[in-house]
Amino acid sequence: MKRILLLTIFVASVLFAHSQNASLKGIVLSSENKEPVPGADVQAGAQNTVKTGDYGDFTITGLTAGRVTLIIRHGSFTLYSVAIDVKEGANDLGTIYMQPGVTPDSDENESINVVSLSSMDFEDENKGQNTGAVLHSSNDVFNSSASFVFSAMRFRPRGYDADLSTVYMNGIPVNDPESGFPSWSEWGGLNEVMRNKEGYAGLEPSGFSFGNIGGSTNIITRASLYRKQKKVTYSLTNRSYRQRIMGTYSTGLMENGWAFTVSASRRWAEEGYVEGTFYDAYSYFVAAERKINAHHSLNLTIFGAPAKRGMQGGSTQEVYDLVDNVYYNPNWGLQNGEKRNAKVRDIHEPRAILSHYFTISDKTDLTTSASFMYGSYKTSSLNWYDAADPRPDYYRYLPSYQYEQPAIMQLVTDNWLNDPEMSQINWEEMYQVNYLSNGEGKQAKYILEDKHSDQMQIDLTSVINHRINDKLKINGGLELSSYTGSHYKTINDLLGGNYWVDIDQFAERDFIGDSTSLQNDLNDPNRQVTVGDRYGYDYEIHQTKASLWGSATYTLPKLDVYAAASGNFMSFYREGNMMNGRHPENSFGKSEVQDFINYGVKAGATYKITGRQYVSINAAYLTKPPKPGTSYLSPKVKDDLLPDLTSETIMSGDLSYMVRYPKFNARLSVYQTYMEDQTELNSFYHDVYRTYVNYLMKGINKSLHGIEFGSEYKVTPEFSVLAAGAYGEYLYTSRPEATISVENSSVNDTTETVYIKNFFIPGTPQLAGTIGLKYFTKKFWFFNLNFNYYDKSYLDFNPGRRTERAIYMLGPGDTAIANITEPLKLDGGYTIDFSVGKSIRYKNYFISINLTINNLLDNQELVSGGYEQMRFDYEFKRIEKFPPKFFYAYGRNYFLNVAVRF
Amino acid sequence: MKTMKKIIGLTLVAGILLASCVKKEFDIPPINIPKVDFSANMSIKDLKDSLGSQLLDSIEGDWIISGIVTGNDESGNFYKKMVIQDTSGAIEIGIDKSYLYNTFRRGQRVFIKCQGLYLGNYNGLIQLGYKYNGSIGRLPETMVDGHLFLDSLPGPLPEAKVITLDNLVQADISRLVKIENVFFETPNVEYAPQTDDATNRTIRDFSDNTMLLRTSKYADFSASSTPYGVGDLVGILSLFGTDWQFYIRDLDDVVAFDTVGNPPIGTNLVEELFDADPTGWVTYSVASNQNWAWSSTYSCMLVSGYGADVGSEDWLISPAIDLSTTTNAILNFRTWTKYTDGGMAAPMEVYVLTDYSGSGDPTGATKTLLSPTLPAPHTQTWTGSGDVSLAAYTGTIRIGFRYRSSSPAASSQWEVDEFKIKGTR
Repeated sequence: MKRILLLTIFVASVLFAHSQNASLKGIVLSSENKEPVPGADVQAGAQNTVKTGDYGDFTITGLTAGRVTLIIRHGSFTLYSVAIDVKEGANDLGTIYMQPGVTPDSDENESINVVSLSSMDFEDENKGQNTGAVLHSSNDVFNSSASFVFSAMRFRPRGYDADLSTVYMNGIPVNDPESGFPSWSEWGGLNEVMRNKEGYAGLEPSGFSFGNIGGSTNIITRASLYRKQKKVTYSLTNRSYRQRIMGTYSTGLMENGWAFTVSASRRWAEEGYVEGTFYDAYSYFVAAERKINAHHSLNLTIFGAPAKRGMQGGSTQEVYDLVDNVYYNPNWGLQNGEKRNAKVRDIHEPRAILSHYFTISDKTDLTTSASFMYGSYKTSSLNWYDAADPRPDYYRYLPSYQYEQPAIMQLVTDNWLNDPEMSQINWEEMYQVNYLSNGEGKQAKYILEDKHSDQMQIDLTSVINHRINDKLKINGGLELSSYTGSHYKTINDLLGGNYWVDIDQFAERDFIGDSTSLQNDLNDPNRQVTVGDRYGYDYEIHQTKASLWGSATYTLPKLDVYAAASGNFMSFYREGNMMNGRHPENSFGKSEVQDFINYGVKAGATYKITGRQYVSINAAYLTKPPKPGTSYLSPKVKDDLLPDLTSETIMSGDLSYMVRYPKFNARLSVYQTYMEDQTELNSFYHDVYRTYVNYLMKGINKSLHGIEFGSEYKVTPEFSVLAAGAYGEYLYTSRPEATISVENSSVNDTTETVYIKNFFIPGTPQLAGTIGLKYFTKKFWFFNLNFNYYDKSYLDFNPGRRTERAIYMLGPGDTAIANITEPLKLDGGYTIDFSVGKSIRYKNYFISINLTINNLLDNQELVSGGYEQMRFDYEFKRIEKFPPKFFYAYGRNYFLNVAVRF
Repeated sequence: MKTMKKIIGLTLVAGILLASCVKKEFDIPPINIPKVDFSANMSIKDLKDSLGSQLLDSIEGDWIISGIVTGNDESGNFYKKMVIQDTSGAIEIGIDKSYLYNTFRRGQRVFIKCQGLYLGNYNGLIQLGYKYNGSIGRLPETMVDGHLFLDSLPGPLPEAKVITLDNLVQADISRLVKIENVFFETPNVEYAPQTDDATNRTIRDFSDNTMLLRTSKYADFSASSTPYGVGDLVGILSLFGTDWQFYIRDLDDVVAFDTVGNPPIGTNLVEELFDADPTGWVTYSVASNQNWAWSSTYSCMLVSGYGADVGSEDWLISPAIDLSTTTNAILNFRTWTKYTDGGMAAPMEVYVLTDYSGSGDPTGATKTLLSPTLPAPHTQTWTGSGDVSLAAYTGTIRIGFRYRSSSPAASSQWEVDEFKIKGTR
C-alpha cells in the first residue's frame, strides 16, 4: 500500500496544465482493395488513442502542436507508423493506406507441444495451458517476441501464471472459472476471425475491464468489423497437426445494415510431431450484426471448435535414452496394427454471445453482452482393477528398478533395446486379459475411462465509456457470471470386458471386510457399469461472480494519468451426486457456500519527456478469491475445504522508459510483483497407497521482479534489426503449509511445512533473449531470422522433498540432504527461427505465402519443462527411484501457409 | 438473399474440403487362442527329481515341461507364485510379477522352457524360479515371455486327488488335493488376522490326525471365519520343514461344512488339555487320604492309591457341560496306566453325572456308566477313549472319572489327558 500512496502523491504533484488545441483526422483504407479499415487503433502520442469508424475514419482531438508519432494498428495489417508535424487547429491527413499483414501466421499455441501432464504425475491435467498468455496487439517488440518466439520454450512473461491475464470476447471474460486460465481451445482454428483484438500488457488501462496483473485482451467478433472478403487458407506443418484448411467469408457492413461473417476450419494429423499423437479438429463461427440506426447495433456470434487429439506424455531421461528419442510418447500402443493413444482429449465448448452496442451520444457508448457457454471437455485414460500397471514406462518395468541385481537389470535393458513393444502400451494383452476374465464371468480388468469436466456458464457484462471532455474519460462496467462445472467419470471402452464394478479398489484393500467404505456411491452400491455410465465420482462446482469496476484517464500535454478500481463478489460451493463410502456425511448434496469479497485498485502515469521519449509508471494492489479448483482437499470424494481458506493478495508495479523515433523504437521496463497467500494443488497417483494423493499448499508467497527490453532499429526502410530480452527473478518467499489428503482415506489428512523459501519459481525460463533480422522488399517479399537464447529455467519440484519428513533420520551435514532438497536448474540453450514470405496480387486475388521454420538447427537438447515426480522414497531416500520427467522442445519444425483473399 | 446463397455455398464447399478424416475407430482384437508349436519333453516329477539333494541348481538342459495351472495369486493367498500340475506331479513357480492370475488363469495349460531357470529346495519344497542371493528366488518378470507359453484357453482343472491326513507323501507336494471329512479345531475365528503375515489353523480328522491350514493376511478371505461342522477341503498341499501345510485358494475350496446332516460331529464344546492346573474341575475323595491331582511333570491329571491309609475311591469331575443346544455330542479323552491292581477288575470307570450339585460327594448323584476304550493294566501307553457318544443327553451333564484301589499296596496309577467334547450346534 505504501508504494501506491507514494505513487499517488507523485502523480498528483506533477500534474500541470497545458493547452491542447490541435486535432487530427483521416481515413484508413486497405492498400490492396481500397476498402475501409474499421476498428483500427489510431494513436498519436502516448495516450491519445481512438478507433476508426465504419468507414475507416478517425479524429483525434486534444493534441499539442508539434511533432508526434502516429501509429495505426489493426490485427490484419502491418503496423503503420509515421512521424508528423501537427499544426495548431485541424489537421487532415487524408487517406492512409495500410498493408495487409504478412506476419507469420502460426497459431501461437501450436508451436508448443501440448502434453498431457503439467506438474502432475498421472492425475487430471489442468484445463488450459499455463503457457505464455500474451495475446496482445503485437506492436511492442518485446510482447510480440514473447508471443511468437519465446512461447516455444513455455516462456511466461514476468513469470506470471496464465490466470493473471484475462481474455475477453466482446466484453465477456472467457477464462476458465475453476482454474482461471484462458481457454484457448474454445476457439482453436478460428484464427481468421479472432484477429480483431485490443490488448493491454501488464497493468496498462483498458476501456473494457479493470484489467489484470498480466494484461487483458478483448477479442472483438462484431461482424461489421470484418472487412468484406472471402479468404481461404491452407497450411502444412509438422507440429501438433499436419494440415489446416480455413475458410472465411465476410460481407462487411452492407447497405441494408446487416453484416455477416462465417468461418470454418479443419485441422488434422494422422500423427503430429510426436509419435502416436493424432489431431482431429474442426471449428465453426458465425457472426451476424444488424446496425439498427446510428445509435444501436446488435451482434450475435456463435462459435465452437470440436477437437480431438492424442496427447503426449512426459517420461524420464532413462526412458528417452533407452528408446533414443526425446519425443518418446508412452501414451500409445498398437492395436491391430494401428497406433492407438490412451490419452485422448475431446473438447467441444460452443459459445454464443449477443451484444448490444449503444452509442448514446458522440461522447458515450454503452456495450452490453450476454453469453451462454455449454461445453464438454474430457480426457481418456486407462484404468485397471487388480491387474498389472499397463503404462509401459512404469518405474518397475525399467532397468533402474533392478539396480540391486545387475544381471536382471541387463536383461531388462536388452528387452527395452530389442523389443519395440516393450516401450508402448500393449492393447492386445489388455483385451486378452479381459477375455479371460469374461470366461470366468468376472469384471473387466482394464478399461479406458473418460474424465469429464463439463461447463455451463452464463455471463452478462455491460461497459460504459464516456468522454467528459477532451481531457477526462471515464469507463465503468458490471460483470455477472454464473457457472457450473460438472466433474465425473464415464467408461469409454471396456476393452473387450463385460462390465466394471463401481467400487474403489484401493479402499477395498485398505478396509478389508468392510463393505461400506469401498463404495463409490452408497446410494447405488456395487453397481455394475458399462460404456457411457457415470461412475467413480460425480460432483459439481457452482460459482457465482459479480464485479463492478470503474476507471478514469486524464490526458495532459506532458502527462497522462489514470486510475481504476474494482470490487468483486464471488461465491462457490460443491454439490455431490454420489455418496462416497469413506465420507458418507460430507460427499452427497450441497456443501456450505463460500463467499468472498475482493477489490482491486490501480493507477499509473505516463510522462512525455519529449514527443519521442516517455516514462510510464503503473502500480496495482488487488485481492483475489481462492479458486474453487484449489480449495477442496479431495473434491472427488468429499467437500472438506483447505483450512483457513483466504483470498490472495497481489501487489505489482512497473516503470518503463520508451523511445519512438522513426528509425528506432525501444522499451525498457522494470517490474516488481508480490503475491501472497496463494494456494497450489498437486495430485498424483501413489502405487503403494494405490490411490490418488492430493497435495495442497497454502500460504504461498512469491516475489517476481525483472527487466524487459525490446527494440527495433530500421537500418534501411527495408531492413531492420530487433532485439528483445527478459531477465527475471521469480522467487518463493514463504514456507507454505501443505495438506496431504489421500483420496481413499486409508491415511488421515496430515499437514507439514514445505521449506521452499527463496526457491526459484519453475515452469518458465527466467532469462530469454532474441535478436532478429527483418527484411522487407518493395516487391512484398519478407525474411525474418531470429536467434534465441533461454536459460534460468527450473524444474517443477516435489514439495514433499522439501519437508522434515523427507530428510528424517539424516544427520546435519549429510550430503544426501542437499541432493534431496536442492532445486534443479535446467540447462539453457539456443534456437534459430527463420521465416520467409511473399504477397502476390493476381487480378482481384491476393495471395500470401509464408514459410516459418523454427529451431532451424534442429536442437533436440532443449528441455522445455518438466517436473519431479510427486512420489519420493521416504524410507531409503533414493531420489533415483522416482526420477524427474522432462519435456523437450520440438526440433526443427515448419509451418507453411498459403492464403488467398478475393 | 444473394449473400445468403453465397454463405451457404461457401459452407458447402468448406464442408467438402473438410471431409478428410483421421481414423479413430479401432478394430476389436479377436480372442487369441494361444497354441505352442513344440511339446513337453519332461514330466514335472522328473524335473523335481533332477534336483536330488541339492538346494539350488541351474537348469542347463533343453527341458520343457507342461502343466495345468491349479493355483495362482487371484485371492492373494499365494503371492507372486502359481502352481502347475501334470499327471506325474506338481510344482510351484515363483514369478516376480503381481496379478499373475490375469494371464495364468486356473485351468490354463502352460508350457515352460526350463533352460536358464533355476530349481531349488526351499525348506523341503521344490520350486522353479531364478536364483536370488544364492538360493531359489522368483523368475524376473522380464524373462516370463521367453520361458512361459500359454496353450489354448483355460479349461477344466485336473480332479483334486483325495488324500488322507495319515498318508501324506512327498509325491503329492504342490498337487491339487482334497481332504474329506475334516473339521477346524477352532471354528469361527478369522482365517488370518492382520496382526501376522500368515496364520496357521489346525484341521483334524476323526482319527485325530492333524494338519496346518496356512493363510496369508493378504488373502481376500483373510477376515472370513473358519466354519463349524465337518466338510471337505480342496487346495494345494505344501511342506515347510517337517510341517505339512495346506493352502486353500479361496473359500470355494471349503466344501460342505454344513452344520446340518452327517457326519454329526464338529466343534469342540469343551477342550481341556490339562496343560495347567484346571479350574472348574472337582476332585473328591470318598475313601483314603489320597486324591486326584494335576501333575506339572506330565501335564495331565494323575491319581494313585499306593501308600494311602486305606483302599481309595477318588472322583475327578468335569465342569458342567450344557448339551441343550448340541446334538450328537461325542466325548474323547485319553488315559494311561501303570501297575496292576489284582483285587480290582475295573479300577477306572467313567460316568455321566446328570444331577451332581457341583461339590461334595458324588456317590448319591444320578450317574450312567460309559464304555470308553481304556488301556489294559500296566500298559503305560496313552490310549484314546474312542468316540463316546453323549447323544442321549440333552441337558446339563458332568463327566466323572471314578478311580478305586483294592488296597494301598495293590493300587494302580492312572493319568487322564486331552479331555474333549465335540458336538454339532
